[in-house]
Amino acid sequence: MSFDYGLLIKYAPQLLEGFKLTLLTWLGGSAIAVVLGFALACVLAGGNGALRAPIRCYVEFFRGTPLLVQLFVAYYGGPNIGITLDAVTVGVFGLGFYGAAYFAEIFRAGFASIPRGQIDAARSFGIPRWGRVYYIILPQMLVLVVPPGITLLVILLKDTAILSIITVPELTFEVTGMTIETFAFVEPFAVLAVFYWLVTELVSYLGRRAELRLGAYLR
Amino acid sequence: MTAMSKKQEAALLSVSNVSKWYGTHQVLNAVSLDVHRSEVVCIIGPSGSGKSTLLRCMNSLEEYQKGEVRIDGQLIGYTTNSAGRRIRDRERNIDRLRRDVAMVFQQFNLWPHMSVLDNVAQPLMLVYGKSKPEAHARARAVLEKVGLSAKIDEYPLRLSGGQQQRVGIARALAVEPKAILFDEPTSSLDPELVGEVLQVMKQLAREGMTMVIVTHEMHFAAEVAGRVIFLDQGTKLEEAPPKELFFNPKNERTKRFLETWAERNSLFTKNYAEAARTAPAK
Repeated sequence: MSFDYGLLIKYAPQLLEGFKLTLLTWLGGSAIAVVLGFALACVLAGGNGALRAPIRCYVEFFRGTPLLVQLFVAYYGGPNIGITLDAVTVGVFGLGFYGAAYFAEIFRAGFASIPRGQIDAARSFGIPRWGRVYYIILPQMLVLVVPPGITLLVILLKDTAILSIITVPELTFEVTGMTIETFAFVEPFAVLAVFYWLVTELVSYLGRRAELRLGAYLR
Repeated sequence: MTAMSKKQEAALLSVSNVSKWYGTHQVLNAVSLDVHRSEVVCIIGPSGSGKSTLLRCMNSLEEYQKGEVRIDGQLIGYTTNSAGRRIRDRERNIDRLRRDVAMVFQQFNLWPHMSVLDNVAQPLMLVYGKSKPEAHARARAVLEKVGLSAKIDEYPLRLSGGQQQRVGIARALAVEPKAILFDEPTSSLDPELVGEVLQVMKQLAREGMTMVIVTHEMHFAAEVAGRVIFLDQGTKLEEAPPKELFFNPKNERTKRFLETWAERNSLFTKNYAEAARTAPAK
């Protein structure tokens, strides 16, 4: 059996649409995950004890259950309690809330990694909390969170495939449809694999660049 | 205005009856200490005696359960609430008073992601509202003073320990503090690098900087201190000018501590001389 490029050309419009939507849901979900995860980590690292328990619960719940189950419950269970959302919205927010739990842990570890003495020095000069976070903690923490953060972004990218089962017409959804219509498997899944792989490589490359640049002081 | 003697003049740093516990373990036991302008006070004592903790209470980096600390007459760290109970003061008030005393740390505690120049300039910009050119100009001046003009663009991790500590001192000097607290400034340095740091500190002492120094460098303390404090198990056992404390200690514990120290030093000198004498000639 030879590789049928004609098939790919024929399905190019659907594949491109799916590709676009995969990128959009991934970027949207990742943005929510990073921002929310950072906010959660700030509370976990900060002083307020009353807020810590609910955030721990949040993290444990979203890390402890499969994304698939979370999406199912939100999309198919939502209408039962009067929340009806379209698939893409559920997908983006589902991915975002799920990723946020992991990012919260990554950022929390980042906060914890800054030596106490550096903070003491800042305090001894009367540098206020925001100044300590922005000028001393964040720049050093970024170096540490980039590698696990990039890994998580790659995982989220591939997890967008799960959105296909709540009918988000992203790339995996389109590819699955294509196989059903044409009985061809090699070509559609080859496209799928190459796409995820290319984006992953691109993200990893950017991550390595960021790491080198942010960590210049360590060498 | 008539000139006042040092004793009558209000102390720049005043610690009175500070006690601190970690759980049930008491680390400071009603310690009092006054430091006047241009005075150099050295705090000595065995490891774990509470020297560093006392120093860190002086700028409220540590919390303590009893007693009070005043910086230039102003109470720092604690206040009383409407019910008359002692409570921790707001961070902003503490920060404002901390500006008057800078600190130099055993582990230098430089910010490794900033250049040497930025390490020194950062507090000036963040706390004193100086513009970048102003802060950098000031930072250059103090770095020159500690002999590090050639290193301003380096990252701290590329410097030797002695150089890093001199950056730490420059950072403290840059904010023009009324006093500087030194927390074992030479304890994590190679013996060969201790001298360059002590040299800078001696110069500051000569220029009249008010300094409180926790140290194990007895020779240095004897040379520059106006007063030496001996601390053991959280209690101030003795306080005297160095000549008295080192050569005629009143307290038995002080005597023993100094004897142990002297013995170790003389043993080293003796053994060294012995080894040199008996070594085969080259």
